[in-house]
Amino acid sequence: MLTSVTVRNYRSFVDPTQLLLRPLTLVFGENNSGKSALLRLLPLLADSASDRSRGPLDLSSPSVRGASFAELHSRPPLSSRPEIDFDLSWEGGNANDLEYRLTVRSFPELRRNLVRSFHISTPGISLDAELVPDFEPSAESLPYRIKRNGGEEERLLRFSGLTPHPAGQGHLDNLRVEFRLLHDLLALLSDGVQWLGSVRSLPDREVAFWGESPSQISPEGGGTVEALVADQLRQRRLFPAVSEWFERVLGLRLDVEARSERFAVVLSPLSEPTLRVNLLDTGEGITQVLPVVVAIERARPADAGRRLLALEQPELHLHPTAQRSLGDYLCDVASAPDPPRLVVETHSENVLLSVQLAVVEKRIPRESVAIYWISSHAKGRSSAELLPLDELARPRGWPPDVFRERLEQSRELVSSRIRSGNS
Amino acid sequence: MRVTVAATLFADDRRRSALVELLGCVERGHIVEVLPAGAPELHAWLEELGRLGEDFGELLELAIEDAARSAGQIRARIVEDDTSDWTSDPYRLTLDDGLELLRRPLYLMVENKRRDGAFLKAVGWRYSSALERLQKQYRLEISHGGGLDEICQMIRENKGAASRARTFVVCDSDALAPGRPSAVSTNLVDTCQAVGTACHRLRRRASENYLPPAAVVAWAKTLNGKAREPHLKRARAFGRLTPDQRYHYNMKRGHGGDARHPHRDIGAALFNGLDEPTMNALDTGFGNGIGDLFGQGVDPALLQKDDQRDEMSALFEALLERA
Repeated sequence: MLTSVTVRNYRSFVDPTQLLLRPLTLVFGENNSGKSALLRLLPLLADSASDRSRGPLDLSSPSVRGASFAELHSRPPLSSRPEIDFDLSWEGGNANDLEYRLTVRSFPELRRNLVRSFHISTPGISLDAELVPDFEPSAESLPYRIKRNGGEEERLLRFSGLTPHPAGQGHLDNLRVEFRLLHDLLALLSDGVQWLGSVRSLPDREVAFWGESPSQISPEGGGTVEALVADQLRQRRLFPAVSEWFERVLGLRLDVEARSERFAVVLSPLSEPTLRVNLLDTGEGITQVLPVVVAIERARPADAGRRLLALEQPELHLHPTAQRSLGDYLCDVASAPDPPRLVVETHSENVLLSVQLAVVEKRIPRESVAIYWISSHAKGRSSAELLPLDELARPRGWPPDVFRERLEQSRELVSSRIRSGNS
Repeated sequence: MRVTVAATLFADDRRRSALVELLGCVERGHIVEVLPAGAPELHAWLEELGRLGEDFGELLELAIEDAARSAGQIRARIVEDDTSDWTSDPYRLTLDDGLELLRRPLYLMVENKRRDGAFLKAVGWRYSSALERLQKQYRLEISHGGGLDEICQMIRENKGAASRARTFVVCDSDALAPGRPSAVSTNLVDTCQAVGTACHRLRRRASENYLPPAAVVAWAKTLNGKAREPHLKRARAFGRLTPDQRYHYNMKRGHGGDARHPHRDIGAALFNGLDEPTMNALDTGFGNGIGDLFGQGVDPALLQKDDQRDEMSALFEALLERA
């Protein structure tokens, strides 16, 4: 399991910025502080770990929204270095622990972005590689000076996305073996992330079903209804689990209606089961939260594929009571045995309070939760601070006036009433 | 400040105006909780006040929410006793003394109001809006104390218990090495403790030791004329020091400034092993005005990297809790 990602010189994060991937990681911050950029690293890395990536970083990933490499790395005046540093750590039990550090550099004159250097460490292996400066600009395989176990040798390596491959047979024994664990972990990562963006589009009123459940929900929530229909028709666990959440939190029961060869998701109030309303005709909060619940429920089984979830504002359009329930739900999922990893960007005070309450009531261990506050500083620089929860579940270092607005406004309102003599 | 009030106080109509004033303190952001929750005495009292009672009821509910959110320590319990006990923790106070406590702002006493105020604003960047709010609510005032000896004298002469409880001292350690604060600084801490005044002694030698090296280098680069090169060299040498050396370096006058210090050996030991060019560069300090750099704005990202978060969180959270 990928347990942390550190990035440097990425967007407004000039300094090394670590994101721990705990069962529940919450990312808070003001608007435009860099929260989304940090969260979207996860789908970017997943897409870049794929064989289909056309460079070390997959700039066709929807997570970068068409940005060029030059728009991804920190730029002047923040930094003049055309590189991004990544540090990925996996913990999977001693033999499967691995750290992969790499620096991706832009070579504008070659119109290429290349891995300038990388480092792999696992128990028993420590390997450093550096791109040899004089290389054939158009070559697919490039020379790297590799140091390991006191030895040093130049080897031709080819990268598919973030993954290094030795080209041909060389003198360094076992290089393929040494890369194997990294290959396996990157392959898992490439199919392991489910990202949901903060702008989720409306589903179709009816969908055709062709026998396959989509392998992932799109960042806009596309595929949600198809996944539900596929599951309902095959009588599996996803549909009842999602419906149970809707029944418990929103008092609505989910069902699938077949209309010739097309299918629709309908909801009925528990109080009036005969009233069946198409998903599209329900409130915005319901259509917005459905992909979130579906994505989470798909990730819950230990053998599920996409178990690292990057969720932007899952609380979108939900009223405070439902936001609280959503927070409780996130805690339930994250505290279950062998949980998926939920990385949640949110502005919801109710979600935070739910998590604090769950920690105080020991429904979720403190160590299973990471809370980040993203700050935007002078000159556009951002930083991410991990705010550890104390024994009273207070995030230490939380900016004291954040989430106080309503309280202060209410106090001012009552005070004004008293002063104006209306009381 | 979070206080509790015994509900039985609301049963006596003679206390009406004092209780109205007490609940008015909630308007200023103090957290007042009436115990036990839902007591009939409070309910009857609020009902008698009519519409004003409804508003006070709402303020009390907001206070409960505030208490849940901040989880701050209860600083005082206002009870039906005839006399106050200022030695207990939390204080057990009569209604009059409780009011006296809440009426006053918390006086944050520093050596130099302008310079140290700027320092606190810079290192407390995360708390800046909360501090501004407290000042607007007349719950916090920064107060000029002079040197450590003068502050000590003022604390000793501060006779009122409420006044002592509403003072919070922040002072330099003047330490030439980790864990070796000066006698004057220790005397101040002891005096505060003896009279029940809160005190935070900076872990580093002085406030200017919280300047991150990058900020000092950036400042040196802005200088013109003869001063630029030596200060730039010094700033870079300062950046090469270990954290402990940096935290205890004499920022104003350098090693030379400590030459006649009675405990100069302690300081000298900390800097043993530095190469000659570094030692030479650091022999003279950055001058008496170096602390003013905080007033010019230091990038919080630099402060964040300077390992000061734990100390500053503890300082500001204690301050907010007491204000």
